[in-house]
Amino acid sequence: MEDKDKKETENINYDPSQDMVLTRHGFVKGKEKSFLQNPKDKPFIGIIGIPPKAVMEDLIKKNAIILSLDMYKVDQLITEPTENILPKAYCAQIKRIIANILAATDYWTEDVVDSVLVGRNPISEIIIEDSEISRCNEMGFVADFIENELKIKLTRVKNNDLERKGDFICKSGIPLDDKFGQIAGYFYRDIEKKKPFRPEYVKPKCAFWGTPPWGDFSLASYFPDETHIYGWTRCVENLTPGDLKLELEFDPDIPTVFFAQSFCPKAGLASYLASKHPRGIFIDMDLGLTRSTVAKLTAFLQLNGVVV
Amino acid sequence: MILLDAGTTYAKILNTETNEKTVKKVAELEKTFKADIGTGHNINRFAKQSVNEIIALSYAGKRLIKEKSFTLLDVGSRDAKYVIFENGNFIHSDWNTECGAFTGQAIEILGSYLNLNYNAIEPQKEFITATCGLLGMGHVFDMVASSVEPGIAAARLIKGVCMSMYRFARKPHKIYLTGGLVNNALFVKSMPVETICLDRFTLLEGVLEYAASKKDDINL
Repeated sequence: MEDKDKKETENINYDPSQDMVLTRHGFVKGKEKSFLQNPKDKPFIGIIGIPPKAVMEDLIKKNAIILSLDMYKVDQLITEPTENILPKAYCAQIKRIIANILAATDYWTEDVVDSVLVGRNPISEIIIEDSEISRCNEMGFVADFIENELKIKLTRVKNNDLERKGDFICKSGIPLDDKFGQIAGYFYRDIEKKKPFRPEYVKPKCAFWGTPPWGDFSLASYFPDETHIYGWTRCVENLTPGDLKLELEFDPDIPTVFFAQSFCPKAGLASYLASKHPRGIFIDMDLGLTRSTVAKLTAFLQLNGVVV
Repeated sequence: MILLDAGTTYAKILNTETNEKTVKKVAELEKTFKADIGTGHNINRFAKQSVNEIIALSYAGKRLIKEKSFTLLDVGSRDAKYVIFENGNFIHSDWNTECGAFTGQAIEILGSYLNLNYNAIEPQKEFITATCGLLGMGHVFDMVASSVEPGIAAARLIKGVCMSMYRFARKPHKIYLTGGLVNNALFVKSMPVETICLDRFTLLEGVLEYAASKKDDINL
């Protein structure tokens, strides 16, 4: 009985948005993340960005455990590990990646880092997507940091994949946060030759353009299920993260939120496209959602008749 | 009924029964003060129910402005926001929430620090482009250090803020202006287009209009 009560309390307190980790199995939540205590006979590889398909297929062949260093989060330490490395006013996602690398490479001791990786092998290699245009053009700096500061094998790769696989998830009616998770999962499902997830098309009430809101996925909860996704996230579902032509597309007939990480070069693109869209708004986020950002977003959705 | 617009610095209070209007600093509000409904950055501390500031601004525009097409801009101490209506329909809004803001507060702090009477200073053609209020103040102090009159330096900053607000609001041919800066004559005169001032209680008119439209959902 006590155990049941304890379990229920844990469930009430559990906030999946704080714990979501992207792995080759898609998002891993809560206790499931213990699988990251990886078997000692498998290579443990960190990836940053979206490496090309050929690189990922090679990792699958090697039975590698793959950890996305974009997603694994040591949020409470995001500023502390990076404060002597990066300026304070800097992209929080880059800070997060650096903090994740430091955590995942045991640079910080386990008692300091709230690591989900206790008991694992140390990460043996980091593969970084260092394309000129893709998710982020700060990746070169991150690569320099890995090379200069950490004794760990680094592989720079460029993703020039341009064969579009479709955007079924982006244009479906599943909740927006599930869309982000499924798109991440789709990336791995395709590589593992599993049956793709193809939910039905839904007529949109509004659209979200941009990268996933890594800093705080609760942003997605303000959108209706009938939200289509555009921008870089759509490129990821297409398995073409460097497809700038696709990234620039939007639907001028539906109200669209153009989202970017604060201090990210993509914020310039998001802001520009928002100004071109007849019913567009630009929203950025630093470490997490603020009350003002939520108010701005909800007012936009309400005034456009997207939500009541 | 007591309505409250609890901004970052100032609280605007309207008693709808007596029509009494009060402005005081938010810091001076009694901790036990509870308005019936309101809006603003600090509203959740001081009201039983709250209305989103952009929503309040939109409803205020529809209630107070006779034209069907208009731009209503609210420049407060911490942030600025606007709504655009065309033919009676909402078209666009935006809100500079944190970074790039604090302009109103910077203008007030600067005026106190340099002992300026903004009503007695002529608008300037030259202007300082600043990302935010704090950076703008830095520019003003640099100009003063290079022998520019403090009033002229501040007026250039204010002109810069006005230009920034004009662009932020998508360069309309006419602006309806509300917020704390409507009381700053230099600011109003520095706006690059025709500017019609509404008073500081405008958002509360929007709250009233919104509450009336949602009377089944709002408990007053």
